[in-house]
Amino acid sequence: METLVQALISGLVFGAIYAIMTMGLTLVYGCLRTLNMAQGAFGMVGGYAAWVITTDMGAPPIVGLFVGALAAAGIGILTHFISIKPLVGRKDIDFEMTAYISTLVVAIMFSAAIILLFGARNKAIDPLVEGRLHVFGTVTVAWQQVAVAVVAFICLGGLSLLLSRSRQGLSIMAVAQQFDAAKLMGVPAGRVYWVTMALAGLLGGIAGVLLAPLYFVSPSAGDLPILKGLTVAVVAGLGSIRGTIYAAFIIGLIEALVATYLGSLWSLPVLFALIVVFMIVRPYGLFGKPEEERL
Amino acid sequence: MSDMTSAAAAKAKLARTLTWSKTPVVPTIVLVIVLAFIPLVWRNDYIISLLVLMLLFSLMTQSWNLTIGMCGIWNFGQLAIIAIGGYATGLLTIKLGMSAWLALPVGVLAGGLAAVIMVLPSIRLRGIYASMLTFAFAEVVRLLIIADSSGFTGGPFGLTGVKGLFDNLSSSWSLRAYFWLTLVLCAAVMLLVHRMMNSPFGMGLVSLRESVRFSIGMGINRRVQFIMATLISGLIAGLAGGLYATFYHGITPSFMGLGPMGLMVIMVVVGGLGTVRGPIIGAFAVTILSELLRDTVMWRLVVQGALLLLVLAFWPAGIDGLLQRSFDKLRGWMNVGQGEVEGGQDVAVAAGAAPVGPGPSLSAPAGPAAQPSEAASAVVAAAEPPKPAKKSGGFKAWLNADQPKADAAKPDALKGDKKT
Repeated sequence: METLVQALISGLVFGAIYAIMTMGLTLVYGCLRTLNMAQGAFGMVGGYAAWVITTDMGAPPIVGLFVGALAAAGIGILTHFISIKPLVGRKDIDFEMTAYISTLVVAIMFSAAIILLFGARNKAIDPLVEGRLHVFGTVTVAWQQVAVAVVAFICLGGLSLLLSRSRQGLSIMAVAQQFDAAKLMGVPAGRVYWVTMALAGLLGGIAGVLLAPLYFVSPSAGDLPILKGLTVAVVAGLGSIRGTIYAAFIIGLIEALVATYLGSLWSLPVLFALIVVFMIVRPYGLFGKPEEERL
Repeated sequence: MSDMTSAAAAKAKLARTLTWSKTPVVPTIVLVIVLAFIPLVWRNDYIISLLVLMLLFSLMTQSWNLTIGMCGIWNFGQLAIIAIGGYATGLLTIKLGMSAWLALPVGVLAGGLAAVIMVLPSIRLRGIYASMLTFAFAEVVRLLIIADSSGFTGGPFGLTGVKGLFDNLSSSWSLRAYFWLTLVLCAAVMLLVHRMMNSPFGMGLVSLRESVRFSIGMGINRRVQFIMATLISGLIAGLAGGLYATFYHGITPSFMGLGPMGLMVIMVVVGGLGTVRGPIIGAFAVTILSELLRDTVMWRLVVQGALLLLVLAFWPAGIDGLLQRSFDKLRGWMNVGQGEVEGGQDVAVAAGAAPVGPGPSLSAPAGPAAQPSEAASAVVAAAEPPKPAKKSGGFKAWLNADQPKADAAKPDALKGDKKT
């Protein structure tokens, strides 16, 4: 019972991180039709920025969170201008595949650049808050996990407000729904593109900084999150915001349960095996639209 | 005059796209014989081992290009197929003590089988979802090997002590023998792929890549085509993996993963996605570039990545496309005034409107011309006379499930194709 509760709590916390991380993927896919393979690298860069500002310069961890998020947003804009913008609107290429390839390569370039700057060693980073909270019996929750959940929910709430209330968010939604119509209504598509990428970078950076104390900050710190994010995005159905949140928590819980009862070495293989089965049964995800009938 | 030049060039291009080019058997054999003298003239073992690596890479990229470039299946799990071939070969020589010559064919078959198993469920998925499924497959393979602590696959440290093919020769002669073997195999695979792509089967693959609906309307069986292409690709991948494992006397799980996949993507795209020569050119170009940047290992990835971004932005057809274009220009210049008799203008127009073909396109839908053909396919599918439903066994029925059955539901189903 107590192991189960412990597993559920850790599943929910990881689900929250996956949700903000995958939300970046979902926004970019919805708006730019690009599966942004650099999303994990945004988190990695955010983690490094937070490490520099907290461990090197001695700033408090909360400042690290903000700086990490902003740095990742900058990297998001950079990614847009070097790897996606040159491809938008070209007739001679298959945009989705080319953008997939170029963002994948950008992610690899970022981790190579990070190795050049900081070396290949793992860096430890302080959690936002220390200590553990005793719930009942042997069930304890690290305050860091509570903080992660709180930050994640603030992010998701802020994002939903941004998308439904603000002018900028509405234009993102408009471009995601109907590109041509949005353009005819005077939505500046070019700006919406890079704003979306900045938003994705922001979310990825926050996820990266939140994950950093749980693992380490390392040049390959983005690989695992992007794999999880892709899994979540595919289970959700690409481009579906509601689906992303459900799928993130489902996957977080499955992963935590498998890690608790089978050992953490098995969590990823089991997860991917489940995904393979899931995609055979439901090829367009939980909330995706079946865009092409079964061919 | 320049008008005539362009007309002649367009005519040459049309002739090339509309006819099946002959497989260049004799030039390839001559080239292989010439290249075979390299290790005798240039007696540097390091260079030769590098050449072997390049040839192995070009086998790998060739096998991957067959699915991702030629058929447009978003297959991002090819490294797992190659690794399965390598592990199968290695395990057979280590655990059963088989000779490498016997184990290699088994590795080849294992690669083919694994590829078919991997691609079967992803055939019906749309682009990105298929990439995710194949990628997940590859990750499952990689993580299972890493998680294996029973000592069967060696876990994260990989297999060591795989027997080589030429263990009874001295090390430098073994190296040369590997060079000759991989050279011949690489040339043979290239000829095979070229022959395949210039046959009705290959044309079917290209046509499926450009427009699935049109091809199905023309009676191309998508599932059979894709399974056959994947099988061939998997066999080549298994061969490459088996050769890799025997050449390096081992294979590790770090052979798979995001980084190596990125390297292979760079090779294929820089060389030219969806062409026969492209992957080979890419493998050689990128490996040579890596060697030039050997002292600055991390800059290497940055430079290679930047190269890929440049190629994508400016020459999406890759180096092969560039070569093809300059060759066309040269030929146009040499043929000035030759092809005026047959009304060059019409041909030029026709050439402009006939973009379907294994041309240097990044598996793009063929521009505006694809729209009419999609419409045409709808007409073909709708006008198909109702055939009596044939009762046949499960697997065969599944294979043929794509073929237009002119039932009442079909016209509605066709509407779903309008993608954004």
